[in-house]
Amino acid sequence: MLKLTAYDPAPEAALTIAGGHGAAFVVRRGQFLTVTDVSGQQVGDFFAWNFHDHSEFMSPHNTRLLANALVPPVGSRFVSNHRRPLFVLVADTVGVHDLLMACCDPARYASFGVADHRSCAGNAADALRAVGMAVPRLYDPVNLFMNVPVDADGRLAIEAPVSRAGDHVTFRATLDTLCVISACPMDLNACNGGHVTDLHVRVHNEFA
Amino acid sequence: MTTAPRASEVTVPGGHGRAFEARRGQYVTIEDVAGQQIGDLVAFNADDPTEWLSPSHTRVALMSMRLKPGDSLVTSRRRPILEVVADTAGVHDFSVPACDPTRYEGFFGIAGHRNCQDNLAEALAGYGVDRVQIRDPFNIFQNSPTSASGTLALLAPVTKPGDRIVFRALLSLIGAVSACPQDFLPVNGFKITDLRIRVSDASPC
Repeated sequence: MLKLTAYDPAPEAALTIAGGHGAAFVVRRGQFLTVTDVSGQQVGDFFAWNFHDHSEFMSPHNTRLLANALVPPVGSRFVSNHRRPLFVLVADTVGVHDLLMACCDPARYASFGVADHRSCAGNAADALRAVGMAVPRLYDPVNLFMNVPVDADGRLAIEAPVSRAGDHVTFRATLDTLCVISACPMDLNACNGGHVTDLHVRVHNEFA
Repeated sequence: MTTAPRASEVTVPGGHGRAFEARRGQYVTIEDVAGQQIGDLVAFNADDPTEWLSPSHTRVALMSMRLKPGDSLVTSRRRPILEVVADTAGVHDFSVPACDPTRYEGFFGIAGHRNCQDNLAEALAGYGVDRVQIRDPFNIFQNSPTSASGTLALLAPVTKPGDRIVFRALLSLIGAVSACPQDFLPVNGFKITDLRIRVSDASPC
């Protein structure tokens, strides 16, 4: 089971999330979380919980309303179901993300006629299990690098991400958080540009 | 759901919430009695309340932020639960969260204001649906257009007295509607009024 260490500074971490898989990790209050799209055009489904109370979780719904934006810009607070900030977005080399769509799950792939496909919901469950954590329920993700344009009539489209190799976002945590990121395995539409590739995650104490 | 009434009608007092039940195949009508009143709607599979009516899954299913007759709203398991069969309003929202105590305290400095989250939790308390299960609502009659740049406007509803939306239940469900008590923004025309929920076996259209 993941536990918070008592020493200061908080431990840093770096990990590569293989395309189509997920990972769970801790970002302590005050730490930075940088997610890099290693090869470009790879969506990362990002879920987060208050480490100390898993009934509080990151809410794309509340985040959009607070930012008054479908895609919150740098400086926006990413808030919980209690409208409390979990993160502030402090850097973003892309500016195209999605906070509207549910994460993929077995039912989504079934709608394409595909059984036993990896999914972000399955990746999140696996990642949490791997670190011995249980959460009451998975909520909607912040879909990093996902490109979902909205037209004047409210129609949505899933297009290939505009992110290129090395593009990244950096958040600063304002609470101790439990995080999950899934390098989305969707290869049946344009979501990941047709290629499922790796993401890199770095948890760091200095903004650099 | 064998105990569900064949038909029912409940008035949702302005600023309060009420629950309802509908069997698969029944019609659910939500009527804006006096006009310009939002109803925050949530619904759960009656046989398993861990499956809920989900805005994010519905957006994927419809690939749209708007509703029109013929659209099926889906659950967190991507199963159709409500089909829009008629709609005299034409403007609804499913991207804005329900108002809650934090909204009134944090943004307007008002403690103890009635709010949709509490209204829905109170209405559903007898159904074994707890507060944590009350997720993002469908905001019936809410007028929250998104601009080309992605900003959101919270405007007065376009509804007139008697406007209504009619759904067909595609799963047996437990639902609740809160007649939104937000009176510090134009979203209810600064006047909080009643809604009516009608569950019927025959199509009201």
